[in-house]
Amino acid sequence: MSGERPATASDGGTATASGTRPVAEADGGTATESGLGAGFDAGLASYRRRQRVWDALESPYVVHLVLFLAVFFIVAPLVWELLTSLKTNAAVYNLTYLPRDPTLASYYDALIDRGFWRAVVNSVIIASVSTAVVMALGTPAGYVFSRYRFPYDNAVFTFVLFTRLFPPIGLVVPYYRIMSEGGLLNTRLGIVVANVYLWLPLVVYVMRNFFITIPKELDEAARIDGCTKLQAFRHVVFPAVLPGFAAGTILTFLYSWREFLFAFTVSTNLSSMTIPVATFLFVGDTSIQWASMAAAAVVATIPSAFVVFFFQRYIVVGLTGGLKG
Amino acid sequence: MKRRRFLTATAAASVMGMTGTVQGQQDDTYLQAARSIGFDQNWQQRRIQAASDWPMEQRMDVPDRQQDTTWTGTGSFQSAPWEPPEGWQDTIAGEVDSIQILNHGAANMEFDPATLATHELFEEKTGITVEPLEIGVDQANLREQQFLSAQQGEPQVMNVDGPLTPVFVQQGFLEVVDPLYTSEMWDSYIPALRSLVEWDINPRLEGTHQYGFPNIAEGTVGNLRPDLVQEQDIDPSRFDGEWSWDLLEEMMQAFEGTDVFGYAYYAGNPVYLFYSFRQLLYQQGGRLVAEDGTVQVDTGPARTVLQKMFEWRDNGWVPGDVIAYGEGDLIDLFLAGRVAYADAFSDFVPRSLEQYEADTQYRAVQPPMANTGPDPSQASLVAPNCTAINPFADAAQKVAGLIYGDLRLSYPSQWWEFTYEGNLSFMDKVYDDAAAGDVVQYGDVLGNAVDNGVLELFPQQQAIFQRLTDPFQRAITGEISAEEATAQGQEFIDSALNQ
Amino acid sequence: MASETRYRAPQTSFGRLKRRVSAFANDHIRALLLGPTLLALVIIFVYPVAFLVWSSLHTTLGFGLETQFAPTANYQQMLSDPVFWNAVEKTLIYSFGSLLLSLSVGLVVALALDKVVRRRVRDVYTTLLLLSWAVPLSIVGVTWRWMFNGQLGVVNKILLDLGVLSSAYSWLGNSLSAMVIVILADSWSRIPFATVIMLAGLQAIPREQYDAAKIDGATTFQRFRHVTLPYLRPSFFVAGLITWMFAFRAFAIPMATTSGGPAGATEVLAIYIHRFGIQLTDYGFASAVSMFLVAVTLVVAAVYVNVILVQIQEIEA
Repeated sequence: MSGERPATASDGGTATASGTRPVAEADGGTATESGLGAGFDAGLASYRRRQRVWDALESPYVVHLVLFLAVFFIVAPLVWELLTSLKTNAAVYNLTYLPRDPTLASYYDALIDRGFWRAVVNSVIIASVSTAVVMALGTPAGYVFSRYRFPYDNAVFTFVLFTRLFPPIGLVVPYYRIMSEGGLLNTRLGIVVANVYLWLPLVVYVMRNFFITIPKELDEAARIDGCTKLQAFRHVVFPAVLPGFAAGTILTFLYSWREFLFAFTVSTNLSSMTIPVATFLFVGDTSIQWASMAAAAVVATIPSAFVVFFFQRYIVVGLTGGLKG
Repeated sequence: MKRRRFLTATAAASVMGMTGTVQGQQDDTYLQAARSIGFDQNWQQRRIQAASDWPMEQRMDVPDRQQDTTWTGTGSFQSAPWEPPEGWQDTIAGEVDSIQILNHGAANMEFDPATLATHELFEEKTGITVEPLEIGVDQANLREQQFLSAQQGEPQVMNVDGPLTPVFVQQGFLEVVDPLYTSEMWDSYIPALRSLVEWDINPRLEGTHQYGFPNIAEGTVGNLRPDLVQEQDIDPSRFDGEWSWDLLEEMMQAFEGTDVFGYAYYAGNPVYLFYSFRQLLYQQGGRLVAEDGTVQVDTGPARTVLQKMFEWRDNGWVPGDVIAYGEGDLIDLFLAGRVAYADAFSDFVPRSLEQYEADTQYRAVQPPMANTGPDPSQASLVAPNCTAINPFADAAQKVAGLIYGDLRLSYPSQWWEFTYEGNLSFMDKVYDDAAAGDVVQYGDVLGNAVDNGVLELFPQQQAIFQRLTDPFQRAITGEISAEEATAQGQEFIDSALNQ
Repeated sequence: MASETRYRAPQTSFGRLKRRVSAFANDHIRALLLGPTLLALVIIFVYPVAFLVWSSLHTTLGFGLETQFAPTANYQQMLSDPVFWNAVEKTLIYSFGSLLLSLSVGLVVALALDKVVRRRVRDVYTTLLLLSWAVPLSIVGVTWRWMFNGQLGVVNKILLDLGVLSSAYSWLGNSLSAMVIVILADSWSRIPFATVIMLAGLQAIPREQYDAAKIDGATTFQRFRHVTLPYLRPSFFVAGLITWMFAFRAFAIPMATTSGGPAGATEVLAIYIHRFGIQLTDYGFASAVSMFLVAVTLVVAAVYVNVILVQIQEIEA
């Protein structure tokens, strides 16, 4: 395979495996090509044979085919939901692939008739508020973990991680009872609290990793210039970690948006129900109206899809940056 | 309508009742106010005979099912003859602005138009606003257990599922509503009402009391697609009158190889599995509650049900998916034209009539009798639920709830439930009038359902059904045998009910 | 640190107060920045956990009424309940199935993405792939349930039209196929995550290693085995651990797809807990089972972390 970078498969497949051979000729006759002995040639031939297979596999055709299949697998169900949502509920029973008369009637039915729009509002509010709270609490905390040593700091950090390892289903029951005592049942605030529990440890961890990438010299330079520690944080270090902060914000928002378990437990009706819960409850209602449900599903997915479209790089950074160290 | 005996509190249940926290007992302010209103004084006049002041034509001016979302403009609403009892405003109830009612149902009352009518009438005549809290039945049962055990005072009024009623009574979760009833009243209502609301199993209160008032009674009827059946060369008229499982199986067999099924049942979740199970049990003449008052599931008829369910599914005569079917799935299937016959609750009828033409494409029929069992009969399942008052609510609002109860016991509300929503009415007179006026499609079939309907309620019914679901579903998929399933089930029942 | 400031605040009482507050903040910066978070975590985590432990030691008699302190009663009940063991079995199958599928597909896709030269193209692919990760979990379940609906689902329709099936198959009504579909749905949702993690790992491998191996005459496959894999191991393990952990405690996806059916064939532990804890309000019992879930998760995590640490040390050595 020619080319220095294994990654450049764009010129792969068709080229012959000529790059590194000492003798730049195609296979000759019985004379040893390399002049280094028959054993070497036999090994070389076997190498070339096996390599051809791998060259073929690494060719751009295969690569893009694989990726196309993967994307198809990922996207096809979503496309089907979209198609279903453009039919009316009765038309679904006709079992066609494409809607015969595409219509937005099911959206209307789901959003207005069934009051699903309230779930949308709830989701937006809850996800935004949760994100704000979590980032406001988690960012400074991550900063502290990245800069300061203090007694039991490892233990505390481990504790923070531990909260993340704890399976949320276990806390559903205590949460339910605590919230009903505190009158937080079926309120948006209750769900926000649950979201804070779920994502705060993650954000602390992720932000700590981001802060570690910012050299401490920056802090010190700021202090020398006369800043207090707080000002150093706010005005100097924080701006430097903005990309990481953005990533954390986006991730938290997405996670909050799609959260199901606690929202399901805490909310009883549309005054606090989020989209994932409302959509699930469409099923098994007095009759399953598949088209309306598909419409609800599409509405639920679109904001996440938008965020992914625009902020894909941030998401990747957030997911991977948080896992170093 | 056969009356059943039901179990009195068993040891386990009474332990449940004894422990726990103090409930809102014997709220004297509430009872005093309630008695002073005198609901039982001219009940006959107010609740029933007022119907003679309601001209049939006016009654039939009802909203359009597709378009209208309120009743207030219609003639039926405006002429409805109900007034709250005199003097109610002078009691503490007069201060109430609004009450919250937990209603079993879909998100926006779309499928509960008669209930909406009742709410609106109540608001109109009393000036008290109704805030409906709509929750689907499964969820609602959970929520009610939760907020009642947390002693929350809201919602003040709530629908209670039939099987859950005795459980709540034992726990002290339902307020007594004795002021609404007198002993002469029962004759005007179907026996199921009394079975549903009258209990003596409250460990904190001596004697027999009433704990609720009507909400909805559902009864099952058979739903047939005559046109589909005809395509398979079976004469639809064979389904009128008496018919049995023989014909059912013949029909299922006829549809083999097509993409339509002859029959389908529910087996997906505890609530619905046991609708289908009981249906098939009663059609054999079997019962869950034996003569001595114990609950027996390890019986021949019960085993037959499981065997049949397994057989039919194994043969491909019913969709394989039935093992996951809940309420919506069966209706889906039926409305998609994929099944020729199904047993379902009576509110299926108006839904089907929206989609299919009466008589040619759709017909309500009596369910079949079994071709085996101790006493085959064309029985239906009656599943009533009631509306009850939250004992932890404010006394004033409880009284307001009683007034709502009075409306529920009255003719207009009962009439609308039957004629508009397709539920069964609790009031005898409604059937007579509807038949006379030929108002309800297939009214005779529905009437038969009430006559042949079976109602059995016993404590811990829901917990038992939950537990039995596992082995029963396994029997239906063929993992274990029907005998094993019923044996396991009986074991659990015996330990749960200490019998 | 430096105690002089260049700018001297005026000597007003407010100014003095301000400086005092600022100095206080300065000295206690850690408490100030970290304190609220820790406080929040104690309230929303520690308290419920304590409640959980306490609750698991008490038996409940339905409807959330606690009775006596019976420290082992719930645990005994749990261990002797065949339905519990069924749930454990199903959870293991589910989590490992999803792990296997997500990681293998994720790896293949990551490898493919790594070979794509142009960053823009790679971004497009990544964006499209991330879509399934962004979908709310209950929607994932509902979508797959709809696709595989026995009578109205699109999968059956396609198979019937293609002639592969002669009659509609009840995917979700048969235990085996139901489990397969639920695993598919779960990994559908997790593959993008695994891919992203592993792609990052792949891209961090220094190119010189490949060149050196090539000069040594290694085929692509051998290069993969000896260069790629060792470097990839940390990412692989991290992706694996996280995927497995989340699959082990999965609730939304199996619930929304099959609700644990048919006949408990896909009833994972989380659904089991929900059923007994919330639906049957047997709080004590549900708490005990939750403790079990926690214990397993922690043990596995601890083991895994140790393994990874060892592996990482090996690489860096």
